[in-house]
Amino acid sequence: MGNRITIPFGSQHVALPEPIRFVFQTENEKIVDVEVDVGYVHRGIEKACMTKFKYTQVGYVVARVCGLCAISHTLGYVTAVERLMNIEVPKKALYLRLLASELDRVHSHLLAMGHLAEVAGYENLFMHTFRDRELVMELQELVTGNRIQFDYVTVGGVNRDLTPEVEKELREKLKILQEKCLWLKDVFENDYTIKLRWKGVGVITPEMAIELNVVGPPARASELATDVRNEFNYLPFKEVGYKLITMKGGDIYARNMVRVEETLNSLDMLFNILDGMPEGDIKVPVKGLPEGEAFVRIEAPRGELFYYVKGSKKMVLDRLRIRVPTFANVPVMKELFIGMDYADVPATVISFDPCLSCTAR
Amino acid sequence: MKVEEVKVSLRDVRRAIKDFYDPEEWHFITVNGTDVGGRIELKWFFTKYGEEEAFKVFTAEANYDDEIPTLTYIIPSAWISEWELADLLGLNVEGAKKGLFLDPDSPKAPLRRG
Amino acid sequence: MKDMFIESLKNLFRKPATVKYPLEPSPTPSNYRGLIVYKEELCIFCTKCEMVCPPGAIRFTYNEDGSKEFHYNPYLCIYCGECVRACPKPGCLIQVEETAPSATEEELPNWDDLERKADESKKRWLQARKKKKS
Ligand code: SF4
Ligand code: SF4
Repeated sequence: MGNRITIPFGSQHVALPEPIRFVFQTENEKIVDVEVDVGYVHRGIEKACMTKFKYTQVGYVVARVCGLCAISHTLGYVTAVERLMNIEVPKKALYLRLLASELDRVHSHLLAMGHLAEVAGYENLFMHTFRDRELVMELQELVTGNRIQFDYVTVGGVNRDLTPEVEKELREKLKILQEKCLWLKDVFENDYTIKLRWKGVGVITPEMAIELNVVGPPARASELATDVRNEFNYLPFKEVGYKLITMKGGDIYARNMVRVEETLNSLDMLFNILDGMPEGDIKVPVKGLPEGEAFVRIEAPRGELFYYVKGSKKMVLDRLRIRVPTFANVPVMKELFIGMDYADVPATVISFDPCLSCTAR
Repeated sequence: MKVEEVKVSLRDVRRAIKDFYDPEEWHFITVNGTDVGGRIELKWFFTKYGEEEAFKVFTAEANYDDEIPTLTYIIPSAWISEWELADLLGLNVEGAKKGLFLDPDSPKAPLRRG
Repeated sequence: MKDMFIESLKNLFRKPATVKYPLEPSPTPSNYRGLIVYKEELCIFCTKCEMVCPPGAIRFTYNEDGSKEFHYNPYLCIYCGECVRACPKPGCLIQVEETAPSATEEELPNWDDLERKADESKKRWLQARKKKKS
């Protein structure tokens, strides 16, 4: 047995924008044991939603669980409440939600791709990705009125309509964005440096993915065909050309390529959404109080997001439970590190696109 | 939505889930605890791969000081949800360490009522 | 890799993608969700806006004579627009496309104090109303 060295990684780390902490035990370069601590930013949001806020306000509170997938959280919550109260949401509102949710996915995936390039030491590509991401941020601002905290969805519909001018601008900018994304795809797919750095590193085998219940792009990169957009009917994804994307390999490269392909698929869907936008109301009035329990699954950019809502005809909910995608992926991360070289750790962590403010809530 | 809800007693949870769980077919989502006033209602959620809105839910009730059986022998990734139960509801889960979310000086079992 | 190299060389001669903010202005884009503006003349003091506001950025204090006063904290507001939608008098509350002045420019409102005052004065007001009724 060689000398064991303890290396703390995080909670503040140059390669990691999130407050997660791993404590690695290494023998020379090889990791032999790891401990995780994810609770640095626990804010007690579940508790606050069950005591302080009325059920109509909770949608705005859960949006603040995470900035990157704000729309998914609100969407999960309102879908659950609408199911509890049997509210029929107008078709147009569903399409507008779909628009916001796919814009959100594009921006989140571009962020993940950019970060991944950065930890591979490829600053140049990182800058390119983030420059193009700015386009989709502007579009989000145009549609919802804010860059990240959208506050777009409420119980019963959405808050803003799409004006013809906005729609025109959306189409123009989406065209540009699509071209840029195609160019990025080419780079991410064929660049020699990237292949050298990412191929065969951090491999999740299909068996591992099944055993550890991996979710989201990491699962799909390991041939596990699970996508909530396919398995839970919360928005009309199938009408706008949704494709299930899986890859072989399960390494960092495959995870990144899943994100690239999904970004392109989302962009295609966005055009179809604009083409097929139905007429009608964007909101229905809400009456009554939630009673009973409901659970929904939502495909957030990082994977399956689970909401459990229980109410008993009161303004304040009895229980709200949020199970976020990164939380579900922590076990596989931990498993993956054992036996890995320490130098590969940052890239592997980022390839899961971890979101710790979600995880700790 | 197709939901199959199975009520079991706390002692039989592990056997019931072991008999049913096929990792190729079912996806374990999470275990959730709700305080129903003096008791905790526990729910284990599963969903089927590739099928639309098919769920299976196991429900059991526990007292505050009961020992909750762990599922990590059957589902290795369940540890993190179980640790959360131990932390936020202050339950005694087999093999769970406290302190995933909470610090030693934070309030104990914040999700309990009252 | 060749592609990337050429693109990078081209980038050297392009305009910067960022705005040089303190030197150049950074205009608020159209459709921006900004501050809430209140018109007292139109208000009927139904306190609906206070009830729906998620962070509690709108509070009413109750005066001795039973009249109410509107208070708004632009730094607590999340600009969700719920109050605008809840208000029964159109035009009384509107959302403008402007950001809050940066917090160093003027004294921050002492919101904790105000919240306490709002709670206490409401309690007093409710008691007075009960007495009048009985
Ligand atoms: S916009 Fe939202 S947060 Fe701001 S005052 Fe109105 S209701 Fe409150
Ligand atoms: S909802 Fe409108 S009318 Fe009612 S108190 Fe508020 S501002 Fe005044």
